Amino acid sequence: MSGWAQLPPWVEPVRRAMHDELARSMDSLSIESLRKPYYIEYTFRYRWSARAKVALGGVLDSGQTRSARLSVGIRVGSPERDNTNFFDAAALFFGSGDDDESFRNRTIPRELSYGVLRRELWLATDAAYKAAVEQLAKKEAVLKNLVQRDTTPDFVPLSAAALYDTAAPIPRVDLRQVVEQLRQISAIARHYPAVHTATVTFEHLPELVIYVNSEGRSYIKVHRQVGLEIVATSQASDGMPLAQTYAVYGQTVADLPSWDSLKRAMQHVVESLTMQRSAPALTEPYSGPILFRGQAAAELFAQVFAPLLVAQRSPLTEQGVREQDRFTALQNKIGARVMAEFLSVESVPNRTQIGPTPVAAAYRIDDEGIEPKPLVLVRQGYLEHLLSSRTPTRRIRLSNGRSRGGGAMYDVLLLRTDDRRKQLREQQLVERMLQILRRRDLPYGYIVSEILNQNLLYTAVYQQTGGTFPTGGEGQLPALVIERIWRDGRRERVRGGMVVPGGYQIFRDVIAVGQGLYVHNLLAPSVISPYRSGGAPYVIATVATPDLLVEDAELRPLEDSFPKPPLLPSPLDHAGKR
Amino acid sequence: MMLQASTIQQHAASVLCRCIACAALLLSAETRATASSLDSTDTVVRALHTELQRWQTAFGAVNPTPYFVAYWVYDVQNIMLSAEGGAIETAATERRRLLDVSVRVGSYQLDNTHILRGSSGIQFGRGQVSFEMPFDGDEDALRQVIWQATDRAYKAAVERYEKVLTNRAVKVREEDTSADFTPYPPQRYYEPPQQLQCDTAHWSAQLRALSSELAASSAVLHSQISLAVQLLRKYLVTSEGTTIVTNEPLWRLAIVVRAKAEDGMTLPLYRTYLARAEQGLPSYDSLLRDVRAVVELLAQLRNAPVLDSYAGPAILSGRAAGVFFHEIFGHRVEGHRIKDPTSSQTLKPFVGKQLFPPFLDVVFDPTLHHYAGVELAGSYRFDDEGVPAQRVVSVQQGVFRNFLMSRSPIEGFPQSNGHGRKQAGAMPVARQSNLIVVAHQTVPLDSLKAYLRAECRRTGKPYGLYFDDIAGGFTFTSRTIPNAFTVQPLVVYKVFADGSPDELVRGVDFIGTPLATFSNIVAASKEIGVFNGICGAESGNVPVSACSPALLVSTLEVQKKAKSQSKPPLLPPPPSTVEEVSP
Repeated sequence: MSGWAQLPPWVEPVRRAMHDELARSMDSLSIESLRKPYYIEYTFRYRWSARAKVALGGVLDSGQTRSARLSVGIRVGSPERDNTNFFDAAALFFGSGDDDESFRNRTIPRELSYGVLRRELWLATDAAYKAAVEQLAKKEAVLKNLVQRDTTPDFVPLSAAALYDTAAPIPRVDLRQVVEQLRQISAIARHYPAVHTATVTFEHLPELVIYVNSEGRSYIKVHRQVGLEIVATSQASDGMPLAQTYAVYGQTVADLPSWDSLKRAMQHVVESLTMQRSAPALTEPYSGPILFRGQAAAELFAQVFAPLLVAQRSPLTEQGVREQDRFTALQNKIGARVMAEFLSVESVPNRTQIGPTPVAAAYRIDDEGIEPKPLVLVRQGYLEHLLSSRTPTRRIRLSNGRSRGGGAMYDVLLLRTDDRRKQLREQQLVERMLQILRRRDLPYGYIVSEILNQNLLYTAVYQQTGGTFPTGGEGQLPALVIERIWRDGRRERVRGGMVVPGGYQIFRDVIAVGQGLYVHNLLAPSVISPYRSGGAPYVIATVATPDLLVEDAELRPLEDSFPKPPLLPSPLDHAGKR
Repeated sequence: MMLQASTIQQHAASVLCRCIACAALLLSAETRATASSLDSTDTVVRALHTELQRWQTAFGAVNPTPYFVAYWVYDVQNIMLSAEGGAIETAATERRRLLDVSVRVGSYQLDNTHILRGSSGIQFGRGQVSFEMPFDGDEDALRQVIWQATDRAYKAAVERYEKVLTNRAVKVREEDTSADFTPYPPQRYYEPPQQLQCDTAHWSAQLRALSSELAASSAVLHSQISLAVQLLRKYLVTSEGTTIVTNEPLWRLAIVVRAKAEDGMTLPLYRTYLARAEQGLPSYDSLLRDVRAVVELLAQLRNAPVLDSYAGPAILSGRAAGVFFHEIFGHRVEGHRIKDPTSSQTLKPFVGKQLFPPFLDVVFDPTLHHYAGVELAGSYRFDDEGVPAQRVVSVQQGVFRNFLMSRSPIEGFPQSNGHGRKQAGAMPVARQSNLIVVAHQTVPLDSLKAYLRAECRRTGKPYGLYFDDIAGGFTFTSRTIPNAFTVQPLVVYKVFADGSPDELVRGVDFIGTPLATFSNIVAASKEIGVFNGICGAESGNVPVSACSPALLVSTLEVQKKAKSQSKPPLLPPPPSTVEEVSP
């Protein structure tokens, strides 16, 4: 690995072009008697991407590209009421009906010059302004017939600032070397005939971001992201589709585990899948204590609780205010108890390492040019803060620097306790669970060690199983590694269970936690819908959680019908052939 | 020009004389001639054969038993370059290897591919999807994918076959009771692998220079010049014993410019070039001339008056007529539509009857590589069902003779004529190849314009129209909506009856219904136009060509085209400085 000690030479002309076109647009852009922009922002992104996908030692896809994109944000009206915070469904789904220029994530030439960029900015700004003016008119028309009860402003101006996060070099990667390693990792699956598909995917996506706005705020930052995902699938003899996954993310390749360690991870994935295949299926619904260990505790927190910590604003629509229904359970709960009283949640986006593990989601400047500070979100069970962008909400007017991927998003979250009495060693957690089983006269309980990540489910598992992988219903989390633990301490692996958390309240039922923290870097679904924000569907995040013993949780068997197993054994099954 | 047209005509006539049985014998001879060249060291071929053999054994013990299995592998290498405003916008290379599988259960007469009538034909979540294969994997890695794909294809076939049996029982007797599939003698043909070679640095420099020229004009709002180089290595292995491996290189260069008139109308112009090898693309100087010409035309078009609705005589240039025939006639002779009970089957009653004026033939010829000095895009050696490409005379002296056929027969047309085509991810249906309109009586284009003026005077019209260039078009073939067509011209001139200079106009599409328009063709030019392009339909995108003389049509109707309501940019373009600082 080698890095760039300094920024590319085109950064300065690009920034100058952005400043010059912004100044010209603020000064001159107008349509007849309609209002001029009061705020413009430009975000320029230059990405060096490298990707590879390998299966059973052979390459499915591999390549390197460079691309440049531009996004323009324009506000017309005033900070009290402007064109934003209005959900224009018609414009979202059908555009303006005209062949307008693109102004969000507009692809521009990757060879940059002052002149080329000025022209691109000119066309994108023009389109963004026309859309903004029309959107404000629609919004004002709707408000004419509404008694507006929510007087939260649409924007809060900020002072000028120039920020830089460019100390770390833009990383480069030797893709040939990576592909060679991926071949070796993926070839391990060839020795496991129970495995139907096994892919190893690598993506390296460093990005240089240059931002300017009309308040005089600007930044240049290097955003670094790398990921490696292993996804293996199979089918049990009763037809149940099975999957096992492993994913690691970091900021540079150096943040990933060593190649030897990744080979061991692959070995573990295919062995675990093979074990899963021969494990008995869960047949009865279960309600009782569940111990969530390691990755499962972190995924449970990431999927069920973390998204609720993001401040959201219900946008106005042509039918009036449209209430959000995703991840809004805690919007009005500041001051209320939302989890067990010995638990706290902190947001620490500046932490680059937790224990020995590098933090993939760490950052110094958010997408709107705000430097985030650490925040205690939940203190001893009570909600204190929500994470916000520059979109003011009823409770939170100012940004705390959490705008990422198109809107406010959770970042680096620590779930922890200071109460040593609640921190137990693993054996103590199991013992505590057995006590509950005995008290409730339950024959067995469950330990869940792995829950399927949503990104991996929708981008790989679903495709590799031909769309047959059972996803359960709304709010159900497919558990990939489940152990049944009997009252006498015997354990057995089972398969086909869905965790049904029943909302954030499951965290009120946590009665004890482990002593260590599992640091889980993941690609998390954007909390603010990308349909509204125009941003990314998945954003890198990090959650660090201890093992969680929940007093009463639900685990349901799969009730779906399964596809029949293959008619023939795999060609890799040499024993089967004989 | 005429010599070439005559040659086509003679050749076409000779094809028409061949009987189907003779064609089959010729194909068997070709089979023997190429059998020895099959390379047993090709990993893909070996993996396909091994898995096919394993599955054939397994299929012997299942019910319903498949009677036919086909594997297609598409090994695609792409190089893409594009430039805008003197700078490279994208530069990418990619390689993919994709597998498609067809398993047929039942019998040739009735199988799982049979058309399902009514809502039974709607299958959620069962769309054909290609399987990704390693492009450098060993035999085991390839076989693992083939194994999975075959298993899924068989299960999908069984499910659909059950639906077919029930659907047949509950619906009325079908109008066309022909079989679902026809057997075909095994074909064996192998081409060794080719290397994809493209000097991207050289081409990047050319694209930069040409795109600078495009962007220099104040009339141009948007411009792009792109090069797409593809090497497609196609494998077809079937349970009938067919193994065909071919290489299909394709070089495509496209110039796209767009202006916006003061009234908001977006005005695009395109120039596309297509060749099987780099040497077939125009030289830099030739491209530069085209770039300058297209920019000049765009500037004129921006200030051209808008044409109102009109019905009267018109000329379609050779390229425009070619596209017109492809869209309006060609899609209606694709045989599978005649089986589809929802299709209007416009041409079914016209077999053996006069459809066009007697001076016209229409030929589809995938065996032809050049026409009128231009390389053709719709050429191939075998179609995607393993049938050798064949010349098909569809219209002879104005009389409709033949549909384009895949291996799915229709009443009166029991055999494939080598036009079953597909893209990765789809199943083959009858598709067009190189469409060639041949006129037996022709006049120079200037004379054709004189005829147009005379026709205007005769009908009392102050002007006629000359459609010089055309973007494309579409047509409806379903029974539930009128079978109209729309063709989208790019460059249209008024040709005045009194001989005044032609006037460039903008803002119209030409519309009509097929049968009425076919009968209105009255004369053709000596000059031939060739349009190469990619045609998208049920079985995906396939390269095609359409060649035609310019045609005089006695009456043609135009309507106003959809127009953007968006204003041109509010501010003038920013001052540009030449300061190349590239990453």
